Amino acid sequence: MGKLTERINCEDNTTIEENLLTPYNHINIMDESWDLTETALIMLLITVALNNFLSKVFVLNFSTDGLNITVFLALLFLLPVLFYLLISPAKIPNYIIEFTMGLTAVLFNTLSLLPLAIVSILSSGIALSSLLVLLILHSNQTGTEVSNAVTLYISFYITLAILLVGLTIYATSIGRIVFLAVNLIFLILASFRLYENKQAGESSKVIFDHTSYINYFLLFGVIIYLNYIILNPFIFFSWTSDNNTRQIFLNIIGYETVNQNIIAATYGIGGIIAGLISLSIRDTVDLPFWIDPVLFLLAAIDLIFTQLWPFGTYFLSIFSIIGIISHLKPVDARKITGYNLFGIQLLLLILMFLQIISGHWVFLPTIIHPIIHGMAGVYIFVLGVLISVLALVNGGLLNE
Amino acid sequence: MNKNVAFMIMACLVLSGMMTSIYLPVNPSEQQQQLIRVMSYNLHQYYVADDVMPFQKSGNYIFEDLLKVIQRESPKIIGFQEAEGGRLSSGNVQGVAWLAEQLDMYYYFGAPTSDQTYGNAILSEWPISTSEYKIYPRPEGIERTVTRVTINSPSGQLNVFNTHFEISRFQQAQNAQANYLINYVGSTPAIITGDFNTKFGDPTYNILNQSFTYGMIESGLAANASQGYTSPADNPRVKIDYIWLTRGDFNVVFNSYRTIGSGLTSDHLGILVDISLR
Repeated sequence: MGKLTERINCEDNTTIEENLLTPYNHINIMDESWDLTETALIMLLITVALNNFLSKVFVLNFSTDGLNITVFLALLFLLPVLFYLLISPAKIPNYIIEFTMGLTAVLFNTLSLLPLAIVSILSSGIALSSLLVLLILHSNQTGTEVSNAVTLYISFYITLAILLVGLTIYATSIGRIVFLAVNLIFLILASFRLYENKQAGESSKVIFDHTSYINYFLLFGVIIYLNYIILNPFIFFSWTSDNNTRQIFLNIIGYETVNQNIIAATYGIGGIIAGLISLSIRDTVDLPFWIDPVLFLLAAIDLIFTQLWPFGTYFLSIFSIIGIISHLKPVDARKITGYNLFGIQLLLLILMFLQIISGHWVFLPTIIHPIIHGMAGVYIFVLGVLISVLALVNGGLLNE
Repeated sequence: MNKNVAFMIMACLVLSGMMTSIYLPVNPSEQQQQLIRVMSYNLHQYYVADDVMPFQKSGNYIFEDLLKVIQRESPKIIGFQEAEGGRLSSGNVQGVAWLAEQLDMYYYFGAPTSDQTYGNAILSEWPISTSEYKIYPRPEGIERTVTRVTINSPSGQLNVFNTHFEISRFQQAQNAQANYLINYVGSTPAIITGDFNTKFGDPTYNILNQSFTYGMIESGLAANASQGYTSPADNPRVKIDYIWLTRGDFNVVFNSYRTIGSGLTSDHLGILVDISLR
């Protein structure tokens, strides 16, 4: 595994710098909004595949005896990196990779609905791998483009959560129909891209520099962070249940006339509005790069440790995450090797694994209880800190 | 901001707003002194009771099958245990919100997800006026909680408690939880649902039986009757789920106690009984 920065293939005779400035150069061929929609759908499908994948790891290990050998299926999570490293030297145009990965994702997403956990986990693992390769490719878009896509992704997910009243998309028949429809729309977009790029004779190759590592970590880290609590407003509501704000709100509107689901959904609607406001502000005000990571960290502290101001926390989390993403930009090459990508994936896997087993600590060996008992929130916070620090470093690099 | 993206986000906003408006509950019936059907159900974190062999597990959720079972019985009050779905291991679902919506019931979920317990919830056909949860003392085992609500029923205010005790391996904790619960319920009329992880004749059962009456016995069945067995769901051999009532406060309809569900709806059977306030 050598330095990926040394493997850049530019068959169309463009320089590395030109490619970095227009890393996603076929974007001009298609309407930009369709491209952003495709990125948003990739993130949405990653979230669904990730949830299905992780829950099936748990199902296969659902026993008071503790974990069994099937827990190693969680390592499927590392596949996309290995796959990417294998294909990156090959001279395959981006659009071919995109279409192949898109088709694979849709096919295995469909198979993942089968009612056999082992088939479902393998299918969702392969779909997840394909989608993460697509995320790697899409992570080279500019910050403005990706922040539009992330806002759209958050809006799509919250709307689905409200439509499905807090359930995940593959939990009910109607959800599974919606899931297949989303996959179909994604496939149509991917096919459209294939057609357009073929017509235009687009032939750019995989371009991957260290910027992609930062962008990829921030994007995937943000997806995981949002997925823990923020994306599904019903889970956010139950996360902070019994807080003063809720009681005050209930007293104002009259407890006896309201279903708690209305309050939960109100969080979600507030989240979509936060996304819209955040995007609008980026168009008009050039906020310093450090504002969003700091706001994000303050929201994370309240979310995990104090829960004093849940609606504000929800609003601020989404507002600041979009701000962080909006600052993603390609920068000059640095000394970062292909191992970094592997390391990022492994770090995220370990953080998720620790977070999950924290909720089931009693069934795990006593020796690790000190690092998991009562620590589920702490591992979410650690991810939040990593996102903030990396966003600050990224902003600092840009200002050099 | 891309104009088409802004348009799509606005569409999401409108759709979400429309969906939220249909969450408004239908007005409950206003009959006085009506029968109250009470149900208790351990939801196994929303998974079916799968085969123990990992490679034969389906990993299916219980939602749609469970909903049919509950809708058939039309309970007025339900106590759910193991109802926490806000974890990556459960696929990040909030099943209580969904069930309450489909059943058109009010609900209280506690302890909050951030406490990382197995989750208790109480659903009610009538509005809930007060709610809270308590974490039991924990001399051993994991964190366990009890949830309490006051329901404004047509028969008057009802206090409902719902809990999930420690497993019997931790007998000391179980006994401590039983004593805590008795003190917490106090002297007010109350319905107490839960998975108590204790069998007929066990020390914890005896502690509870001294303070409360057991819905199954009141409905005419023997205390150790096999009709009351709840676990495991596919071949029940023990009874660990109970509906207790404070002494002298309720009438129990003869022969109304029964178990419901199957392995498709949890690893426990649900239980229900019809009662009315005296």
